[in-house]
Amino acid sequence: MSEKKEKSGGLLNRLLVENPVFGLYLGICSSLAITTNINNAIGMGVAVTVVLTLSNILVSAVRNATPDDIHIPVYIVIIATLVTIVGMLIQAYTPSLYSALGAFIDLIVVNCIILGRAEAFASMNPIGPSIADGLSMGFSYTLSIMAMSFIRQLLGTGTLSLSNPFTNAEIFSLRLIPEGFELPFFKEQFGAFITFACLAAAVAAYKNHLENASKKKGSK
Amino acid sequence: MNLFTLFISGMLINNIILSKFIGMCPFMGVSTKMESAVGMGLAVIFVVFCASVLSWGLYYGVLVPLHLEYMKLICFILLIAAFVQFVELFIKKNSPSLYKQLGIYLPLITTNCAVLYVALDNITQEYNLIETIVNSIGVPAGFMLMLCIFSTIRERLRGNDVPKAFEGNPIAFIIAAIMALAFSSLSGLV
Amino acid sequence: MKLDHNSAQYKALLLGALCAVCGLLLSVVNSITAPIIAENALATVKASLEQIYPGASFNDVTEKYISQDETGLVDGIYEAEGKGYIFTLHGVGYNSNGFTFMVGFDNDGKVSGYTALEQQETSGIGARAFDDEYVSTITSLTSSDPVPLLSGATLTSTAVQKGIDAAKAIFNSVQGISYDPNAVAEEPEPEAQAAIGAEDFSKNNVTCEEISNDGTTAVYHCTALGFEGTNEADVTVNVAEGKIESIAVTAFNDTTGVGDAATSDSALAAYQGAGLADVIDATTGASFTSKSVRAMAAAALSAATGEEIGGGTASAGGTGLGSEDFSANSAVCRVYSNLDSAAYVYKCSAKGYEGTNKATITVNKDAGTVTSVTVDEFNDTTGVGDAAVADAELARYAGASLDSVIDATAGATYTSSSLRAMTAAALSMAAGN
Repeated sequence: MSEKKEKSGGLLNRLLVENPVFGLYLGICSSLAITTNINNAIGMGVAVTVVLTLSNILVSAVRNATPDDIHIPVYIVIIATLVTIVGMLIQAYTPSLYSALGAFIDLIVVNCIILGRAEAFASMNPIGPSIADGLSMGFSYTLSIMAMSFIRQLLGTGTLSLSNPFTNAEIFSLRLIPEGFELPFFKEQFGAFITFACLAAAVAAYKNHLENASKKKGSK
Repeated sequence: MNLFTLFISGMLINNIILSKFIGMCPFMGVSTKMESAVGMGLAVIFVVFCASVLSWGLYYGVLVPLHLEYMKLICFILLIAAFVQFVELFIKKNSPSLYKQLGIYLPLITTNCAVLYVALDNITQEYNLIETIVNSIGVPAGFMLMLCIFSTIRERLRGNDVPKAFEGNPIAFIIAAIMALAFSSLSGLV
Repeated sequence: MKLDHNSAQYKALLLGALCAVCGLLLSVVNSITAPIIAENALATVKASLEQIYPGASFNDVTEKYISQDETGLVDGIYEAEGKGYIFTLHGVGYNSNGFTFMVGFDNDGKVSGYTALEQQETSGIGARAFDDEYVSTITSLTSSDPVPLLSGATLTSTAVQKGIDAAKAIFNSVQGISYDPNAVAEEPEPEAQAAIGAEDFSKNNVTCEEISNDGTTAVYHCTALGFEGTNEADVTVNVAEGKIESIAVTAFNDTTGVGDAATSDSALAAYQGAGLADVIDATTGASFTSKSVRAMAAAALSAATGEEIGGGTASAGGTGLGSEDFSANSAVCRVYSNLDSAAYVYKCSAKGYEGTNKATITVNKDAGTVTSVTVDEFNDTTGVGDAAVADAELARYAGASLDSVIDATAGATYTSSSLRAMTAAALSMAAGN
């Protein structure tokens, strides 16, 4: 029983305390820019996860053959290649997603999460753990920007909707806030910053709570 | 497009930080002190300008004739990384005092999306060389302006009683939100 | 042989190999995705291409042939497999925003289609270049025929002509069709024009004022609407013979470089000796201005001889406000205040050139005259229409009744017409009809 609790606490920790976006402030640019609707967030999240996992695999594979002083160019070439490939595939098979994400697909190259994980994790660990790290980091990045886009789309348009990126067919569309009561500024820059600030503060508050709890435990 | 309009819109109206959300990482990291904001800003202007013009030349001089347009991302990022490295070595050797001021910011710039964004944007917008030059000065100038304004606000913020959860970065985002609101009113300028 | 991991050769080799592998990988993926991406891009224009070749399969061949375009007017070139080619083009007519259109050629050289993609030319004038009549003219041509202009829409149809010429040049060189690129279309059969005494000048708002009349020779100062402004001329008439001795244009307010063809010395020479029964041909490419000059000539002749002409009263003065035709302005007035019969206040709105203008009009109901006109909202072209809303212009309305003639403001005819329409509406409301 207690073991189970700790495990779920561990997962929550990974998602919240080590959250790359709200906890470590990595990859902020894309999480602010493309979170106007859930579709874009999922698309971006999947793209980043794919690039992150593959780059982790490749970086981990070449880690022993790469001399220290040229590791940055090597990683950059690997990441840029992967991003270009993913970008081409998105443009070819989901053109609507491509036009919605725009330049931010190319900018995955300089997304700090990817180069950061390559440096901090994959360059020191074998392939297996690197895959796991890439997937979990990508997953929590995806969840974070989905949370952002959920709030922004709901408050900004009053409607939650999801559509198939391959065919553009709507999967569902649900109006939760009656027309005239939505807050359009959540679609704008202002709303992006505010949403981000509140979510980051929520994560910080949770962290503080954990710290206090552990302090109490220590003093007991 | 009128070059002056291009400059003003790159600097103020389409400010990369507030309207395009680009260059957020250094924005949050370096904007705590005015001094470092100015240093970072100048370094970014210099690197963005040189890297964009070089990328423009590389794209139209090499990639287009060879039909290798799809290699632009890889070439640009390598060019930027190599250029930053080169500048770092050059400054280190020739002007140690300048290196002391700017040196620490240079490695950060490689992963600053603003540099890559401006280089790519010049290509997507199909700017000619002159427009590229104007855009590559205007956009990072807007970045520096934001960095400076922001750092003065954050200097004032120090020692203020901010809710604990909002301490540090969250409150900075709230400020950014208010500034974005203020800057959005500039959109009627041009 | 084992290379040292820290030697320069090893590093160069590693980076080189990495770049080669990445480049290879990218080119493979590119070769797979490029055709799909091109197809996606084509899908967006396909809807308009299908207007010309329904159900055809299209290839974007812009890249392949665009280098042959010397004019820079061609935007895109699409091949309809087994059928022909479609060119998307742009040009600038009267509206400085320009317009886009497309033209298709069958493989044997026949024009298969011609249609506007996006245009905001003036309805009834430049926009006629995209009306059925001109479309059928174009679609009856082949790629070797010169493209005729459309009289009355010269500026727009010239831009269309240039675009189609550019498309023809590429198409003919691709298909190996030889033709004479310098051939000029035959002048379009001039509409069987009536004698100036019988022409309909009702839209020209022509007025003539007698300056001198010694019984044999009379000089009239006349004004008439041209294309966008009011033109003025001094017309000298031989009263006894009922013929024009000379005509001199004193104010030209149409498009310079276009309308002024009709006011050139050689064009004006055609009026010498003309009477009301004579036909004077319109100047090609300057039909509107030419018509205004003819209207003035006819009005002066009519004033001298007392014979009636088509449309527009020839006597000094124009049409009274109450009898002008303002149907195009859709003027509406509502009562704002009717407490004081010496000062009824109306809030009016009427269509001007591109927007609806609003004005407050104060009317003295007892006298049936306008006390003042103030413009509340001006939505026409700044720098053009606002001439009509200047204080000095508005002052002309003071004291006007339904019978008064208020001249259009030169160069701001549309806006001025909207103001007159509102004034007329307010006056007639006050009069109770």
